[in-house]
Amino acid sequence: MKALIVDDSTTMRKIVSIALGAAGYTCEEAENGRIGIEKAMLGGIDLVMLDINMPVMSGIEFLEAKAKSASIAKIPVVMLTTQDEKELQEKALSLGAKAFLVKPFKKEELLATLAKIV
Amino acid sequence: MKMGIYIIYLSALSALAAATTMLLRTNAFIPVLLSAIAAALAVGAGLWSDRFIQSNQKALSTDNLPENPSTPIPVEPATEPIAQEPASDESRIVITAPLILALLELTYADTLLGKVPVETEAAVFALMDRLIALRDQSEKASKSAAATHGDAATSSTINNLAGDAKATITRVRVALADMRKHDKNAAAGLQALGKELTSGMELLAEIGEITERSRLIAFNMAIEAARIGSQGNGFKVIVNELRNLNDQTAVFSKRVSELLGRFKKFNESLVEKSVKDSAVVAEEVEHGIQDEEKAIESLLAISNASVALSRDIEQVVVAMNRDLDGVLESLQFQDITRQMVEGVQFMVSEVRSKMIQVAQPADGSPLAKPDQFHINELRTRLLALAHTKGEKEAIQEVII
Repeated sequence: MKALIVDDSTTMRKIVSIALGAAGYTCEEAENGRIGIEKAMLGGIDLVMLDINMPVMSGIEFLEAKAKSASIAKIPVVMLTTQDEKELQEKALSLGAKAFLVKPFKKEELLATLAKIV
Repeated sequence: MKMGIYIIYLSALSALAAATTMLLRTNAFIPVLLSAIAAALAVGAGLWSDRFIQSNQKALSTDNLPENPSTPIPVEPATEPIAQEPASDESRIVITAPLILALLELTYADTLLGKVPVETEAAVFALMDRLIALRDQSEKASKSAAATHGDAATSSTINNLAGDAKATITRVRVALADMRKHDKNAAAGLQALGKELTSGMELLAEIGEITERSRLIAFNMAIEAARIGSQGNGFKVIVNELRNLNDQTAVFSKRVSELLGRFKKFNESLVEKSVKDSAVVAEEVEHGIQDEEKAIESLLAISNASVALSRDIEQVVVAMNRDLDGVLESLQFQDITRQMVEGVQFMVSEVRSKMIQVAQPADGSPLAKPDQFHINELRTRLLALAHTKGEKEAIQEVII
């Protein structure tokens, strides 16, 4: 299983990568939504871990772009962000996100979420 | 309009400072720093507000300035006023001197935020990489130990083998005891045979005595035959036959006696050797059994130690995984903190730029400088609040 971690924080990408690595995932990283879309389009991605507040292309914009591209539209996305406003969650879920996790997250919480959706 | 912007800035910064203070409960200097920023902004905003009021009222005196308990800087003209500042514009001097002190504090805050260590995360990740490598090695060791000795099935097999070996040893001991008993019986039989041989030899000795007596009788008979003359000739023949018989009997008795003597010696050496060899064999077998028992006990001890070691390693791996998860969670707080510090730094920089615009004289002349007394006072106050080397360095760099 291959996961794409889209987050502008190098630290957070590495943290998520270590957590997913423990569950047997190999990880790709992208520092914003646009690079994330480009990497997803290359194929082979089974899961996207997505931040919201990023430069160049935000997480919400990523979801909109992903929904328009048939080749990547069905890849499950888990939102991982410090922003936990209900409206934002609803918007992300309406755009196809499968789950919404708030930073700081616990590894067990992340793995339990993945077990449900992947 | 500008005042509105400042009030928004102040509100945002105060909220940010409060939120960060709550989040960074364990980090002492950042809340202090944020308080200093808020205080500096409060002074700036208060003075800006005064200036706004004063410019509208067109009248100003030091008595009209509001007191600010968080920045107890007396409002008075700078000892080194702006060189090109018109002497008649007292209000500008009164306003800009404390404002520039506040700007100085903001510059300090900005410098200090720039000194927030950024190497911490890299160091923690390096440590984590090592811990993960160690965890992976421990997991491998644990699996190897379980595969070799540690799993329940293998341990059970070793215990069963040890049990079988012990049962075999018990059977060998029983067989050894039977062998000793058999040897003892055999030795007793040989000893009894020796006694029978002795009895036979005694009987032969009695036969020898009988033969001697028979010879004596034959001799007497020969005398009697000679005495009676020719009538005793037939009797002589019988006496001669009797003599021959006695001689043959004596020879036969001697040969049988010699034979029995050899049998007796052979039997005695056989008994002696049998007893001796049996003892040696029994002793060697007993040593072998004892060595085997020790080997079994060692095997069981090693097996048990291996199982315990395997379990210990498993527990270490579990503990390391738990610790690693804790470090990952802590790093997220660290990352969030860093992002908030960057946000505060950006806002401090923005507010500082705006305050410089406000303090800048309209005619483009240089900003007034606060007098050295107030600078010294500010340095002393900040140094008293400083807890780290970075804070003290920033003060020395900025408050001069």
